[in-house]
Amino acid sequence: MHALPIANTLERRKAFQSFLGVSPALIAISLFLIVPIVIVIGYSLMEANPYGGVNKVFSTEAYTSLLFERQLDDSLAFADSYLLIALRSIGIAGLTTLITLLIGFPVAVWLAMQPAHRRGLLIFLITVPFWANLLIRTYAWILLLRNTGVINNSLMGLGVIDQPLQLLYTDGAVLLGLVYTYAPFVVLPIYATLEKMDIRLLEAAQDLYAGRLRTLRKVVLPIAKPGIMAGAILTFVPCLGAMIAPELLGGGTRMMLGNLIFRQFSDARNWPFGAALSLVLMAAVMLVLTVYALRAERQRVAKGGA
Amino acid sequence: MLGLFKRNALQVQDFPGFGGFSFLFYLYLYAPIVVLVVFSFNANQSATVWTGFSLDWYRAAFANQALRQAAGNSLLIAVCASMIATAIATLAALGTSRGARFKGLQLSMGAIMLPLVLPEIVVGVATLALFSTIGLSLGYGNLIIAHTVFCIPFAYLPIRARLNDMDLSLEQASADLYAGPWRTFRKVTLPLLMPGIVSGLMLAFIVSLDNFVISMMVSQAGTTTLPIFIFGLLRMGVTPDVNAVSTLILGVSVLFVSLSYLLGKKNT
Amino acid sequence: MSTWIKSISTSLFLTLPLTLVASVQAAEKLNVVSWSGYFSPEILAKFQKQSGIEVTVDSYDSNETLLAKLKQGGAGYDVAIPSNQFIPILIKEQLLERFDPVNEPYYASVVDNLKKPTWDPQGAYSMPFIWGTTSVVINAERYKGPADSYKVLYEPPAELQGRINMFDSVSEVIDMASLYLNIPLCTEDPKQMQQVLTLLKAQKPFVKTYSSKAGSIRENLASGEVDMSMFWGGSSMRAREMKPSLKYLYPKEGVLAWVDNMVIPKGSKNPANAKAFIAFLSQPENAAMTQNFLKHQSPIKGVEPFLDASLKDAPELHIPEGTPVVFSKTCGEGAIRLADRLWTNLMR
Repeated sequence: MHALPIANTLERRKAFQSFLGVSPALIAISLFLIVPIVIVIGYSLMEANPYGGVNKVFSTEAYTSLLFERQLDDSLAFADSYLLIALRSIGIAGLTTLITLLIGFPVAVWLAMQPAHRRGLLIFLITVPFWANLLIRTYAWILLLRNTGVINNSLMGLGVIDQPLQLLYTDGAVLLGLVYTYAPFVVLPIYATLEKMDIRLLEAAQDLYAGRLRTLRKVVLPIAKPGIMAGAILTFVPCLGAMIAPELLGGGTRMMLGNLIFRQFSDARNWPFGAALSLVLMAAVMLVLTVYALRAERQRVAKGGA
Repeated sequence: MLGLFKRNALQVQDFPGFGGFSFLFYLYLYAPIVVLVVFSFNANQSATVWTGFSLDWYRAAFANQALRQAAGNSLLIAVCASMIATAIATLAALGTSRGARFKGLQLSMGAIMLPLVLPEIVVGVATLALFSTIGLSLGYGNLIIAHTVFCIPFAYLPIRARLNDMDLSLEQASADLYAGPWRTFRKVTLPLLMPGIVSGLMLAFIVSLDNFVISMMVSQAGTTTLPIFIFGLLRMGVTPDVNAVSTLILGVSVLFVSLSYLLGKKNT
Repeated sequence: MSTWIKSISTSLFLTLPLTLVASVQAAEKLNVVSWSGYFSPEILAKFQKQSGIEVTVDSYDSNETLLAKLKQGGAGYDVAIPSNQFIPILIKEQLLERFDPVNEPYYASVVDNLKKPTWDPQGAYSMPFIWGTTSVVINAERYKGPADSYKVLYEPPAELQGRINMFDSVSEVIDMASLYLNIPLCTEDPKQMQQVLTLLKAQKPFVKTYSSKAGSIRENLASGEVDMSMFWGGSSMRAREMKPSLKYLYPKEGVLAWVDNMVIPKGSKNPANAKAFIAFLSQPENAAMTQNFLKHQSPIKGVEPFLDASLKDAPELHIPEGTPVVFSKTCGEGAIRLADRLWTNLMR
């Protein structure tokens, strides 16, 4: 692919100006994100100092640790420990994405169908919790879920149960917290695509005797698809590295990748391993995003873009 | 309130059950917040058994110096980071959406969005690695730098959206009237762009204020931010002063967001 | 009207953070990092009133976290409170300032067996702050069986299964298991560590949470979320005040003992303030305030007149005759690596 040379000086100057405009952002990000990532790659190939930090000695121990475990007697055995945590994280992230999509879709559809004057307020109401601190909101779930929390107290008070249900420190609690965190990220993109939908399409479907379910499947869903994809990505990617919900609601026994990585830089004092894990996580994220970008590009070209 | 969820005669755009479901959804969103607020007024030491109305915990929260310090730190960092990030983002948005295409445009846009798509923990680790390697130890400065970087894409998105929506004809008209490019920018483009810039600023501000993971990894002595402070309180267990502090922060955030929403409405 | 609102909000936006920060910037500062909840607001207020120095307190829940923080460099803390077994490591890694408390007047009031201790033979780097024991706390209402051995912790009876909290720190968990298995602390023998690992792994399905957050554990014990936990003596007493049926055990295998000491990390920006703070806390009256608050044991002589009555007969502070008291030891690098490996294996 070979573009025509920019013959026009004016155009060249404008292109240069654009570049100038973008440069502070690029400099900031290269310096404080891209260079650091290179440093992280470096760290992952160094030896861990048992008291924290790194020894500047080349070592691939960090990467071996991902799949193999040094047994207490120094032999290497295939270790599924971290693979398990990684798979669990992917599983939970996937499940969270699925649940948020299932919950978010009907809400987005309903929102889009509201009369215009109500919509602004309803959207505002959805975003308000988002602006409150995530730690606080997740902590509030502890208040609801613990053995002497609101839910258990109410159920016991109503006589439905006589022993408190174990709600907190379970996988379910973590899932609940994660879905809670990412729900707005799903509702809003789907809503954004549906907002522009022409109502007449629905009317046409009705005229052709399509039932509600059929209309939903054949008319609404295809239009919402880009929003669904965006929402899925916006949930799945951050959820892989989620830390707060698993930490507060999981009780220290349900580690996900985010907690595992964080630990390496605090108690576990194994920076190279933390670095290696971060890179693996980053690679996974890049993979997902590239797949998404390629699909989006293919769809755009298919629609007749250029 | 419930009127919002009622439906009148079944119209073509109504899907049965969706209204009820949405109501439950809003309930789910607000339940923890309501519980938090209600129990912050609890007279009891225990955080979840209601015994009576009391403002004690609020008094304690206001008197808490560490809380004021942490809040001040968070606000200072958020103001600086959001302002710098918005300035950088405005330039970047103008560069990517207004100017001519230059080589590497797509790549630049990808780079700008990078902090947004990477998981926070990865960004935190990378930033820590950088500061640790070069031994940067500026206290507030470290946090401001870290926050500015991840705020850039948050500020960038609304500004770019606004730019794309803006009517080019006004700028062209200004050019037709012999206004130089700088004049056009100041008198036409910038004012029109302002709602987008303000949006970006607010978004960056809230994102910075709320940030926990990256701040936790990078923070140094004496620069505790509000979320880190709250996490420290949570170590003490579930106590009503956490509720009171949380409610206060919640109230301030809601106030802030409502304000920007109302301002936004008046502008369009 | 909207411009009016806009100008007000903009000015608030710009000035509020500055005023908040300025209002707390004026004074002399001191950055302390300690076990969470170690300082009551009263004692900090008293210090500030007396000296004009403003104290900020960051916290950690395990010595390992503190080690990581100090090693990270540039953390800028003026006072830290590590446990005794970590002090030789900190000294060796050159992470501490030498401030020679042994030459200070307040050193005379340290109880004799803690003067110039094994972990700081010259009394050059640390000053004892508080000491205590680590054992197990159990809800006697829920479990009425024999409780004279750690067996109840590692092989829990049905009524306690799933209601246990274990600490989230490598050294403490392994030390207690070593005590139970009659293995020397800080062993470098992989076979012995394997025994520990097997024991802990067998226990894991019955453990609800792994946490060292004192306040959180107290809350969970009081609310019944957890009915048995590894715990420290004083913290156990504070929990007992919330729930009288809690009992602190003195197993026949012995209890672990620890001494938390005040140190000045290297790179402290306010060493004079740090020394003033340490001197302040070492006065008998203030040491008593600390003991009244934390309910552990004080290393300072002369605190008795200032202590609360409830501490006099507290079982958590009186070790029965014949119970072995085992002070934690500093582990060599080999032992630490082994311990780390065990922990990752356990914590999948």
